Amino acid sequence: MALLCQGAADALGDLVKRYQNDIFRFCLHYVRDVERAKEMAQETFIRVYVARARFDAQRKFRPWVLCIARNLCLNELKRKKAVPMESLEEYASTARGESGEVLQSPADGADQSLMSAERQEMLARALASLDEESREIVTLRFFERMPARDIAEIVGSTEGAVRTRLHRILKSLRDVYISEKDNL
Amino acid sequence: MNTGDLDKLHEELVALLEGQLDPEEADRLQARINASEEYRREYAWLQSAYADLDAMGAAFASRVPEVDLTDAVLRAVTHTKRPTLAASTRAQAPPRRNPARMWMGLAAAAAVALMGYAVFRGIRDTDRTVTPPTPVARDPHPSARPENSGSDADRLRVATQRREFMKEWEHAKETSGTAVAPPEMTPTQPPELANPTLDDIVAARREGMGTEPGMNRLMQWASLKREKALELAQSPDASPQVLVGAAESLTGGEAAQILLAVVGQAPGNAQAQFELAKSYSETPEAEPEELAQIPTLHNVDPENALSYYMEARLRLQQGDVEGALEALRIARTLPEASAYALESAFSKAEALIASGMPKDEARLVSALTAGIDQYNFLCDLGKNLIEYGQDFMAEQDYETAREIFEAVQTLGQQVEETSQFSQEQLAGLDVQAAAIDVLEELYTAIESPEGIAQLTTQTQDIVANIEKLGAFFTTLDQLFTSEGGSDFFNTISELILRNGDLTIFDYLAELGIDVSALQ
Repeated sequence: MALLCQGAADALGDLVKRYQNDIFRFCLHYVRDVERAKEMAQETFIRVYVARARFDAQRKFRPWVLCIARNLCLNELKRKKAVPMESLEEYASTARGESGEVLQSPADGADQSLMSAERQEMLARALASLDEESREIVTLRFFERMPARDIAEIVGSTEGAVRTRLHRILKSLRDVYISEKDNL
Repeated sequence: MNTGDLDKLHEELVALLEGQLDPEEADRLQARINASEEYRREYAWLQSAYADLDAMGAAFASRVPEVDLTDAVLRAVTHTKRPTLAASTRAQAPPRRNPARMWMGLAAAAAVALMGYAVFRGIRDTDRTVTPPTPVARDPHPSARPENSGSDADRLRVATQRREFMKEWEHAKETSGTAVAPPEMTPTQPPELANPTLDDIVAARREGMGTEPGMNRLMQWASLKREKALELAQSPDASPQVLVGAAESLTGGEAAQILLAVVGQAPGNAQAQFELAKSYSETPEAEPEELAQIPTLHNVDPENALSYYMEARLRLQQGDVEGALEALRIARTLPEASAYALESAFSKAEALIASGMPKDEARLVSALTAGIDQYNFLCDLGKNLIEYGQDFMAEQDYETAREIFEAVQTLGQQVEETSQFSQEQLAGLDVQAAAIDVLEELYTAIESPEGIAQLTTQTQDIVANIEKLGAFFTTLDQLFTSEGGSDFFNTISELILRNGDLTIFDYLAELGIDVSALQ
């Protein structure tokens, strides 16, 4: 980003290459459509380019750019009158391919070795019961693997408040989880 | 344990899980967990939930396809560097911002718009603020006139459409409010109250929705008295922002002196360099200094077209037509035109605070008047350039006139598209409307039905945008008629000074403030 601010011609291309998949995936959480997520990610980089002179070099780039992407996506959802941050249950079990088709999650993927299918389903249902703001926090923390400090910057909160919020969310997930387990 | 202590414990548990506690704190908390069966269970659950959610996140990430946006982004950026004049093409591009996000209030907006439009409509009758161009003897360029390819019926049809849309434009502005704007937004008298409270400022803002005195009071409060500004400039502790803010309350040589000191210490401060060029432009005898300052502006903010438009005005003033047209050609290829409204609002607030005004009051009054100076500057710049174009048109040098008018129209588009404040966006619309007005005369003179047809589409866009602007102003007024307390108005000023006013409703929504409940 420092190079882009100094006017280096190929700096933008390097930034895009480095962050494009992060931003695309992040936008996908909001707009739930591969093509729209690509558009949002592309527009995010254009905003970065236009606003490069205003970037504060003291700040970290990733939360700044994700904050831009988040605002764009929320505006897009408002414009399209869509419901933001749909069910994380779907996120957990599906993604979409290049052409926009739904990709089912592999039942026996190596990346799921930490969780049994049953446990994953129960957790996914618990996630689905969360409100939008809580789902956003979970997405940023566990799907985008962002530390609390960066999440706070993106959602306009404090690091401590994000951690407290995370604890509450996990507690509510536990309540749903236990209730489901008792009903089995 | 009270709620605050419990929250603190929960926060620390999560911080421990994330490895964000320092070793001493971690050991202390770990000991506390080990000593309590309840805490051990709690922590074990958290660890387990973190592991499960991490695994779920990893699974999702592995299934999302990878993308390569590099070429698309670089192409798009190249495209943004070359703004097109075709409004129909612009309409297809993704909206740069929601035009329904403006703040001044419907009546005030209409008032300012009417003022701006009146400024342009009165071009032929008013004194100029700059010297007219030296008359240049040149041959008209009849070859540059497009062939009249349309039938009489076609010409009549497009001309009728164009007139109808211009009527709509004027109607949109006239019907969006009945208030009359302050004829001159620059403070000329001492404020009625030396130390306004937040309530006074909000009351003036409410009054400013429909009448002149409210806005005048805000403008007066947002500006330092000359003596105070000079006193601040002498202070060894004054920050660059305070100095720039102080200079903004002065004009000409006095402002330039302060700004020279700022740019001497911080040559990369684009706002200060811009304000310095502006202060030179206010003093006719400082023309050489202004011309010398322009390349610095190009260098410190190379993507900002405004310095090239300023250069063009200066070169026209000196009779250097080719130099002016070259500057305009470069200006039209750049992606933005910013008069630093956001930086200016922040500097003003800092200067007011340094002068003794309480922080909350200083920030609110700066936020509520942000963009007005820039509106005046941008409209003046557009107006001056149009005046020169009209001189060339009078000499039947239609090609030069056309280049200038089209450049002014691009200036309006650049301002509209890159503005952070509604006042800047309004300036962009007014500048475009004025350019369209003179282009219509030019296309009529050279009998170009295609040109007039294009203007019709462009006027449609402007009419639509001014209507959206009016809707936004109405919504914005709700913020100031609501019974918000000091926290609420501090939030408003914080958001405006950080982001401009055009996105304020998005940020309020993010903070959980239900704007619809205010209406």
